[in-house]
Amino acid sequence: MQEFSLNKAVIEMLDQGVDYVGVPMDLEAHGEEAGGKASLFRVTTSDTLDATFALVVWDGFTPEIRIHNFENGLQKHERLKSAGRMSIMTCKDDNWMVELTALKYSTDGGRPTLKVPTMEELDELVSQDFTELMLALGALKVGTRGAIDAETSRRKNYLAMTVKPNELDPILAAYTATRVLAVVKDFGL
Amino acid sequence: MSEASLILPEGEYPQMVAGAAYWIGQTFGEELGTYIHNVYKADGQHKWFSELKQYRTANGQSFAFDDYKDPRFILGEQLKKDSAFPEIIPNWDETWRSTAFTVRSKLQSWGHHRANPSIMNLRVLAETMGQLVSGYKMEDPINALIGRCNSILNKSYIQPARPIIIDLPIDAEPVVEIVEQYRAKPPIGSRWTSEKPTRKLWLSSATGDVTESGRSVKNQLGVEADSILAKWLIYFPSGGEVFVDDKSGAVIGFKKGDAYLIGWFGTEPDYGEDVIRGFFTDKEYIYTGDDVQEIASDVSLMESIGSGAEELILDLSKKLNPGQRILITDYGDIAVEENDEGFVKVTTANASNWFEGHLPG
Repeated sequence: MQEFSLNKAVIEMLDQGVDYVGVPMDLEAHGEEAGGKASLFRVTTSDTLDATFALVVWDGFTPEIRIHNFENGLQKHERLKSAGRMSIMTCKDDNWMVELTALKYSTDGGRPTLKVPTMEELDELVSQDFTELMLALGALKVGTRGAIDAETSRRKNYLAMTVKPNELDPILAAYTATRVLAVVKDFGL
Repeated sequence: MSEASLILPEGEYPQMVAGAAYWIGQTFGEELGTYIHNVYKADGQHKWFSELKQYRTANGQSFAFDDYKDPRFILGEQLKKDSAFPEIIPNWDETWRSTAFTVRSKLQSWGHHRANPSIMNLRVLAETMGQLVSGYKMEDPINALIGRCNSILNKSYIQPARPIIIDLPIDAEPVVEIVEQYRAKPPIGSRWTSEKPTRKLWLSSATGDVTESGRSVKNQLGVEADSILAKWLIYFPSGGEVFVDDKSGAVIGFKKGDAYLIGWFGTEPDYGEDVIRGFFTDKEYIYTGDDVQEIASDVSLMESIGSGAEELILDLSKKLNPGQRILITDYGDIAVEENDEGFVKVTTANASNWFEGHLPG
């Protein structure tokens, strides 16, 4: 899909397969750069955000979604510059999986940080049934990591979603919902 | 049956909605007016309407109607203590009487373009009228109308590619014009649906100042700057980025992704002191003599917000009689029905001295 609306946001697919150089999350501690290929997508919102994000498939490191260019927005949107990167993991069956954490304000008014939401909270962020929406956009499964990827670690109760590798629409939608819409809607306040 | 046929609305089209509201009043008047006329005729009283007019005017009562099928006439006449209508109207009882009072008030609002022509408001009118017309010919169409409103509201109605907006039994232009005017200058505290302005300012709740690129622009607001900024902060208490429309002066703030009008940069648009602005809300109140009571909930204004309402109630006490019913628009303009012809503005309330949640913001 070239462009689609997600509640108060519009996601527009820009260039794909763009050569990309940057510091992957895996190498952040060392600050080392790596190369990869990126798919760029632009998100605009009803409250003036206009930013471009990159889904980067690094050469040899964990793929991720990160901010690429912050064109315009409210002060609160600037949090997206430094927080909310999303790692794309590989499941036991080689599909892609993302954990559905969301940028949530703490009740004391501090800056939003990634926290584990409930399914009802995810529904609220997109103002409809989150699972149904993601499945309609091409996701394979939505549920706890224990249920959808036989995870047994302490993260087995984290909500997550699986997609076929390079199936972009559901991943971009999940990123937009849990990061962008979460900030737009002051999730947690 | 009325010659004007009912066109079920296809969606939130003001002219279609207003057309259906008009149909409700006209069809009711046509059906019940004809019935009443036939009852009088059967009794040999062919000139009953002109005789009634003479009787009312001789007793100093206003009688502004020239058609016995006028729904406002029927609904108003049956309220009078010496009216013969309660004996004539089928199923008339105290419940019918009081529902008819509400319907009359709502039809007045629609007739004077004081009801927001929305599907939600139309449903309320149709449902209220539906309580009066059990067994009438209009019962089935009014149920169909309620059903259509419900399916539009719950989004189960799929509108045809080209909605039919033809041959409506009203002059649609004033309705559309009023909706457009309203959209351009909505009540403070309500959603802003026009184009979003781009001039960005920063409203500080801590300092009560407003800055542009770091410099204060408070002096541009004139001598009233402090009270203007205090009012913006009523509707945008957290402060932050606000956007100003350079042409109209509308000031917009975003809450959870949606734009709201929080005030005006400088003076508010002048509508004239006596002009009732906006649309009536769906609430009705009664002035008790020393308080205001919401009719549906019995909650009083003093109970609701306490001493913050004292000044407003004092103002009302100078202009109203105990027992008078009052309505309020979404701009906070309080109005009473002066006579059969319309509403008169009494004073203006705001979000801080009126029932919590009854006004935008």
